[in-house]
Amino acid sequence: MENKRISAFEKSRRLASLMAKDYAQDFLKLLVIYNDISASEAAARLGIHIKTAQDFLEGLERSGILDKREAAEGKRPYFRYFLKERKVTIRFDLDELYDPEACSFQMAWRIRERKNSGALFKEGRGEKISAVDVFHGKGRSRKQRRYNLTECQGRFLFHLPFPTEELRTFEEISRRAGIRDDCLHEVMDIVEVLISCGVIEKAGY
Amino acid sequence: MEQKAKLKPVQVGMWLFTLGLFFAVVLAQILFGSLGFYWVFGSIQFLFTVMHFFVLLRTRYLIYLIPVSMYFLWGLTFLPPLADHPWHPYFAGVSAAFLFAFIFVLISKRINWRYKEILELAAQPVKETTDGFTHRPFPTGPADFTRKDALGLSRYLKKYVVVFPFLESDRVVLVIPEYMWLYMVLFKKSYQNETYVAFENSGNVTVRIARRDYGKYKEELTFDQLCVSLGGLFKQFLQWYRDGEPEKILDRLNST
Repeated sequence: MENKRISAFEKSRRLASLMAKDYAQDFLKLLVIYNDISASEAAARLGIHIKTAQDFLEGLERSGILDKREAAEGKRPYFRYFLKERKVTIRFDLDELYDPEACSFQMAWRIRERKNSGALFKEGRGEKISAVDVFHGKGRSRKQRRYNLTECQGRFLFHLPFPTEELRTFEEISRRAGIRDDCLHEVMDIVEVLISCGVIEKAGY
Repeated sequence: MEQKAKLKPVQVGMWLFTLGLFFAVVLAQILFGSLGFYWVFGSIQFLFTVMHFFVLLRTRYLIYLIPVSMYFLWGLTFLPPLADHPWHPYFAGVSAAFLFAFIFVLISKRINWRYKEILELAAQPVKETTDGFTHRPFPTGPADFTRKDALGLSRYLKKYVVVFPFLESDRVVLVIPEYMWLYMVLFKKSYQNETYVAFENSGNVTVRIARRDYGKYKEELTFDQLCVSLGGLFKQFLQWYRDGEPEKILDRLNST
């Protein structure tokens, strides 16, 4: 499922990257004009390196815009490329980037603040945290990164158990903090980040 | 049974302040002789007069008239230009009377800043020492009070210099600073790095213990228990205030 989501996005990203090249418009125009074209012909026509032309053609082929056929005209075999699609649409579903079903098992996570995490919590007005400063590295290479929090994230972290308290489930903390259902996903996002930074401890983690 | 003290004994800042004044007086004596001594010593009395006058203004606790008068009269007694003033002997005599009054006030703990007492009382029920410090405020749960109650308690505690209150639209924050002078005299406006207990309009009580104050304990007391205990202490104060027995608060603080 995850791979499928990534590939859908990746495909769009790669295609968009190809279209962003300086020579993309001229190159595509050639592909419209010519019945088929080789990398060396396109490179000579556009005045670009043959490797650049080859990469562009292969990229379009991988994206399903072009097709290719092998040719051998008295020399070693090479590929000639031709348009398979004459209309290009970049389209993907943003909702595919996040799986809301993951929420159900995260709700059962038992978490609390990690002992001596070193994080600095900036207090906001009205029972919430407004930002968390997390430190990476040691000595002179120590770096600080600040995560500014949304209202819901701030309220959740305010009610996160202290390092010496019993671990509590995500669901229980959310209930105590009065987190709305439509906020749960953004709260889970920051919790995952803080777990990876070693600020939040998860049972069995 | 007497409880074993859980706080380290020394307040470094106050010692440094006192030592600084002492050395200023000694230096003045060495550099300028007795005239220099009297100028510096007399000026220090006026400095203390101003400091206590600010506390008097901010707390409206009339007992502070005693130190204000005492230090003022000492200033008049020791400053060289007034040495030949015809009333000079009276300044000295009356200041001595105020000195005795001040000693009585201090012994009876009518003037006593309560930072150490509060931290000590908060620590008494905490037996475990598993550390767990965090900068986050701790929600100690709901209590039965209105904003009016919290405001009343804050006024009472400010009068007796137990806490310095900050009145915010959504809560009443009772700050427990190590150096109350910073708030009373120097008008410090932020409590970002201080220990506090906040009575939220929502009915919840939140506690934060500053790292510096936590470091004052001899042992690394289990942090959430310490926060719960501090919150519980102030909930009890609030209850006594609501019950019309606020004097119990001072008795409790004086009991440590």
